[in-house]
Amino acid sequence: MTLKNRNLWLIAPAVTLIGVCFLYPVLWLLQRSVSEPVWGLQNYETVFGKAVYVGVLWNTASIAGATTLLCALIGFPVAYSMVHSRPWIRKLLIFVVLIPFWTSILVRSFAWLVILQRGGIINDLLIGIGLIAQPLDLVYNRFGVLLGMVQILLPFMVFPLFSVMARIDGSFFKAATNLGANPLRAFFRVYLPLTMPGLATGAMLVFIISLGYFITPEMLGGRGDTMIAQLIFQRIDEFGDWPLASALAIVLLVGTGLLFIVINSIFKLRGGRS
Amino acid sequence: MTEPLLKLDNIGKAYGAVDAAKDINLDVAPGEFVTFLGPSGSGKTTTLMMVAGFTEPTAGHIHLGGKPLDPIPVWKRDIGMVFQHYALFPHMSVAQNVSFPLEMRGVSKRDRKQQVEQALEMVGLSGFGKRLPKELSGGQQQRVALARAMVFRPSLLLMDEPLGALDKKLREHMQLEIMHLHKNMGTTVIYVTHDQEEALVMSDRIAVFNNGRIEQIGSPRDLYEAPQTKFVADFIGETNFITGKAEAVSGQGARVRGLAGQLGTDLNEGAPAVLAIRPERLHVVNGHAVEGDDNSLSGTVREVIYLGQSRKAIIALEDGTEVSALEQAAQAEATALEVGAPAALSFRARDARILADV
Amino acid sequence: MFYSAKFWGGLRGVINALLVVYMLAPLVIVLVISFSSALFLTFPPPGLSLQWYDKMFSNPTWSRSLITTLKIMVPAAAIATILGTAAALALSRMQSKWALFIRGVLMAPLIIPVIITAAAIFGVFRIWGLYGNLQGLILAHVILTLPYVLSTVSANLVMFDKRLEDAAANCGAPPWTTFRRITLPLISPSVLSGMLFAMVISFDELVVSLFLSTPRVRPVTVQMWSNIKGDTDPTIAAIATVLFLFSLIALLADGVARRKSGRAAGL
Ligand SMILES: Nc1ncnc2c1ncn2[C@@H]1O[C@H](COP(=O)(O)OP(=O)(O)OP(=O)(O)O)[C@@H](O)[C@H]1O
Ligand SMILES: [Mg+2]
Repeated sequence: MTLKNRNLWLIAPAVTLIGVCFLYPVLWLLQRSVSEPVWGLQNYETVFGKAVYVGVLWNTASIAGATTLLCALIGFPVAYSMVHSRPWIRKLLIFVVLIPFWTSILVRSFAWLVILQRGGIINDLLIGIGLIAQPLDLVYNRFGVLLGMVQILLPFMVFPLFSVMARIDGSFFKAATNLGANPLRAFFRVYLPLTMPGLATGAMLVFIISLGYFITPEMLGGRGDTMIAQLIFQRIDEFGDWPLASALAIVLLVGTGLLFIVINSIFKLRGGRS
Repeated sequence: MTEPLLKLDNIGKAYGAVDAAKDINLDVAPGEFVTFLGPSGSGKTTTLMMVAGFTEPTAGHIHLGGKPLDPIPVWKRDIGMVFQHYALFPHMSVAQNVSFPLEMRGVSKRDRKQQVEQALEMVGLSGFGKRLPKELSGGQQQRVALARAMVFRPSLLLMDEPLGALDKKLREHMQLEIMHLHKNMGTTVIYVTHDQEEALVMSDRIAVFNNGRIEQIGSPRDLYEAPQTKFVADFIGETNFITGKAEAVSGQGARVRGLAGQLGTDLNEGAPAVLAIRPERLHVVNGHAVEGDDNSLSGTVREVIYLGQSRKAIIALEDGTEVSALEQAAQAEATALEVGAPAALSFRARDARILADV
Repeated sequence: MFYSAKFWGGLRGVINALLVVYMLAPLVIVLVISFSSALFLTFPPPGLSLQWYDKMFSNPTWSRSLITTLKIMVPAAAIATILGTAAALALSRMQSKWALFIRGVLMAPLIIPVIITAAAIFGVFRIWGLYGNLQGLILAHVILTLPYVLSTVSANLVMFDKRLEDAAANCGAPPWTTFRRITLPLISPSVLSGMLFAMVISFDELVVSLFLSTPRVRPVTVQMWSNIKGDTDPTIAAIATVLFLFSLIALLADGVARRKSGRAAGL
């Protein structure tokens, strides 16, 4: 009994704090989304009905999707290379990929800005060597957003892939090609399916995390690249439009939650069968 | 019996509907070496943990030195314990580990140093004080655990399968060492094992656990020679069982299927019963009867196993029950057996126990 | 060619090099520019100087915001470390199904998109008078950083042998002594690691701070954010470098702590 009490005292402060300062505010948000101006779902109707908002939802999904695809395309060879490099190179690569975990998104987005903007390093360089006359628009557009987001989210793709690939026999391709198999065929028929769990986990993580991104699209994106998080910020910061902002936040919350549950259960089904 | 040091009075522990231990009654005399023996999951650890104070009994009371133990928390119980995997503190040296209980008792630094040295010497580890536990072998870690549990001279020492992780040879060696320590220090010990040989070798008394209850408590000899339940007869040593009903119940004796034996427990006439007879008490008869044997059986030889100093014969009785008879090499020579040939067996009624069949 | 080891090795080298450039080049460029002697964000800089660091520390706006960041980070990380460690200890000893649920709730601020947390906290904290002051920011940062401490310490506790606590109690150590002498020394590397994590997260935090801060109480990330949108001089590069170096130092300290923890646990 005393032991149980002790656990209670240990956990109570954290639970109280999170309950009062986090759960309650989220519930408060939920309530505002359905109670103003009158009780009902009108705010959600707006979110899913008005072209501007639907556009933002579409932006969010497509940017997240593109980020996921690019992370997979880049992450796959990177993880493969990591697994098959000498130990010290592997350590270096892990360190390099891990840096995003530790460096603020703000700093890295700023760095991209310095490089990509009209008066930035790349444009200066290209004009300097006479390759172009007018600076290119490398930032404040979809390209800039994706460049920044992929760099930040790459570790979420690389590490699940890395852990799966590390368990697959290293001499796989050598063995397959020695047996006379077409390397492409061997890759698509054997290697890719084997790495699927890592790829799927990574894709899920990247996609879900991308959905809520704010800083990178705000700094590197243009008008047409507004994502849902930016819209929430705008509605509150500029217009004090709590009902709509709340509805958007709840849509984001439920969306990511549902996605997580659905993908997770697909995984479990697959895992259970094999 | 003198005033018991430890008294378990009807204690029990229920986890929901499951009784991990139930109706445990046990008196342990000062200086005694008592072993809890039983199969996995029979409640040995649960009972030990109640004594140590890690588990609260859901029924009954425990007394140590005449005082109730229930309100006393673990750290004030003054009971030493050796854990199954030693549980040495990995960030402390051997000396610091052994010194820890003394420190907790406010022993002065000088006395601590001296007592730690004594304790390490006692377990044959002088000079190992500065090492970390992970720099020791399994047997050495075991000794450190023992030193730590004994250094503060607890009135009671608990050991939960302390030798379980050691190989056979080291285990036998440590058994002897623990017995010597027990004799020299005079500490009262409760020892848990599921190795019946270990229990027979080491203990003054053994409590046989089964399904959360104590089936029987007694000296190794009592348990072997006079088991009171079928489980005990079966669990300790090898036994032949002949199943039937209790007949001709009178005073000390009874019969099962016409065979006479001593009553191990109270039995009603006609109750399901078994007659238990040890293989070495079952004699192969070759022509002449063995003197004093008042029961006889017959069957067919199934198998003859040569064991060097002895011979084991497996014989199928007429109803198909297989029994085994163990004979010293000298006697075995006199009674040559052939597989498939008929064989006659005999035994003394006083060597057979008649027990309830459950 | 397709089959030769040389081809694959070379390809790997190219991939590795591209990765390093992609991940590190932007940071390195910012780092270099922060020491630039030029007045604009040009690269390579014509010469080196410490003028932007000088400007950063002498400009009251920047120095004040740096101090504000520290005033938020230190208490927030301390509180998150204490509460998170306590929660991890309790959860590791709880067997009921509540334990899983409580863990999920405590981890939620890490899992759900931070913009939601930010909006929700802002809405309620404004009503409670926790807007535009240190208290509100500290509380919010505790909520955001606590999951990091909880998960780091919990991961360590999974490996922690609870019988050691039983053994200590049996040796005569009351609970608090057991915690101080046995549990804490054995989990301290992960507590330190969790605290470093909390410090970095708090130091770098922007989104929630953006909502809760006012020009009077403004951590350095928010200050940077509002300046990036205006004219960008290399002072921001200097600030970015400071932020980056802070993370790097924490990362290295964490590495040291982890190595120690491996040694202490004897694993
Ligand atoms: N915390 C618990 N919750 C539920 N049941 C438990 C708990 N601890 C023990 N039990 C049950 O109580 C019974 C007795 O367990 P105990 O550990 O005392 O057995 P044991 O005799 O020490 O076995 P072993 O030789 O395997 O160590 C077992 O059936 C076990 O499953
Ligand atoms: Mg046990």
